[in-house]
Amino acid sequence: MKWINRILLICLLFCMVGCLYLIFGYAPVEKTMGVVQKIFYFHLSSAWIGFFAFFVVFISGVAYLYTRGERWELMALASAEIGFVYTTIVLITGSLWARSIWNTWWSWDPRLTTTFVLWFIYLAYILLQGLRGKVENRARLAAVYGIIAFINVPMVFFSIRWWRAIHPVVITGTGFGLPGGMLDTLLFCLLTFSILYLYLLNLRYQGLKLVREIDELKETVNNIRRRI
Amino acid sequence: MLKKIFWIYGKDLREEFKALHNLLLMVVFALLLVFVFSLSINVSPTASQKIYPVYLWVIFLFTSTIGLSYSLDKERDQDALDALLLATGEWYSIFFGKFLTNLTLLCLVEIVVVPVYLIFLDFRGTLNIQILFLNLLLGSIGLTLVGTLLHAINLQMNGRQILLPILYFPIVIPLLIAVSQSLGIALGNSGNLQLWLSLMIIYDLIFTIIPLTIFDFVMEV
Repeated sequence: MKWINRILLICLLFCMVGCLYLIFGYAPVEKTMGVVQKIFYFHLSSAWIGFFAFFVVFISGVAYLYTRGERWELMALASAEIGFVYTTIVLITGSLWARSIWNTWWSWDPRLTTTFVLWFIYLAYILLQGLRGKVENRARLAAVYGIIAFINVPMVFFSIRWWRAIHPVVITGTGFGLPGGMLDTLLFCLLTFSILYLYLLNLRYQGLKLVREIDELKETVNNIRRRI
Repeated sequence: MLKKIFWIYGKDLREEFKALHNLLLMVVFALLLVFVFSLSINVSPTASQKIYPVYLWVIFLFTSTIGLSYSLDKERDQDALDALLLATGEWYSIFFGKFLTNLTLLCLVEIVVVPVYLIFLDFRGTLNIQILFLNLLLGSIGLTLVGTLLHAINLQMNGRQILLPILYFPIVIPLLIAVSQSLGIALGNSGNLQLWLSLMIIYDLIFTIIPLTIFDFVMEV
């Protein structure tokens, strides 16, 4: 698995440089928002990783319940951690953007609120995984929680959307009719961030696996010690 | 299956009404919350109508967080879960038995709390009893279904009490929005009732189906 990560890292280096060039050199500066609009490329790409990671948590949860492979358990946890970090980035970049465009740090817009709920769910998931207790128990229950939470997310989105629709909507959909230069940049950013996600997932997965192995070794050593 | 569910339900109710300790604690806790909220929100009558529904459901949310764990906890404390499983043979009958018990308890709490709440907050509008009834029923069903399921997860994890709301609150957010909006309509606010009722029904249905498929995995020993 290590060689895959090496290849991913090399791709990532080139793509990241390309991505930065496209964002700051190639993409046109937006007329009304100005340079602040550049946040959007990072923001949307992070959101894509955040939501995709959540999907991976769900799939790994289902796979874990059926196969009981340690692989799926570690994959779900690794993905949740990455998802959490990127959802945090989404909230922060969104806030920065909103401050200069909407003139407020936060608005209870459906997308924002759903992302915030998602952030809490990730946090709960990671906390659940971090509890002491039998490893199998923890993995199984976390998988169950991941599945419940994933099914819940669309309902969160629609409920908030309807709720806001009744009140006067201050901020309507920002409607990104993107011109060519921006669209190319965005697509390239999405590709780069997807590679980044795969790289991080692989890295974190290996890390978690090592932690697990060390725990097992410690256990063995302790057992031997007790026998002596 | 239905027979087994009602068998557990009957057993729990008999046990509960013999001593009433759990129900009593829940009612007192909810009344205290009503008291604290009434003291803390001091707004003009026109604004208050928008705020009341939300607080009422927050009170029920807190009460269910604290109160509903008992029905499963006591079985574990007395090592009776295995016996229950032997008697019924399937986890989901136990789940729905416990769900019905919890639902009954929550509804009883609501019967006491809702009138008191309306009196304390000096509600003077017209009350639509039918919508209120539907709202309380559908909302309690959803709250109890999710609550019982997550209580079971917390129990199996040997998690501490504080973990439960962390797992519980994000999941009930859509329900909380729907119930507070439709309760607002029952109290005379404007809004689209059909939308919120259908959201509550969908929510309840989804969380009836999920335990059917997943509860075995939760309780697996």
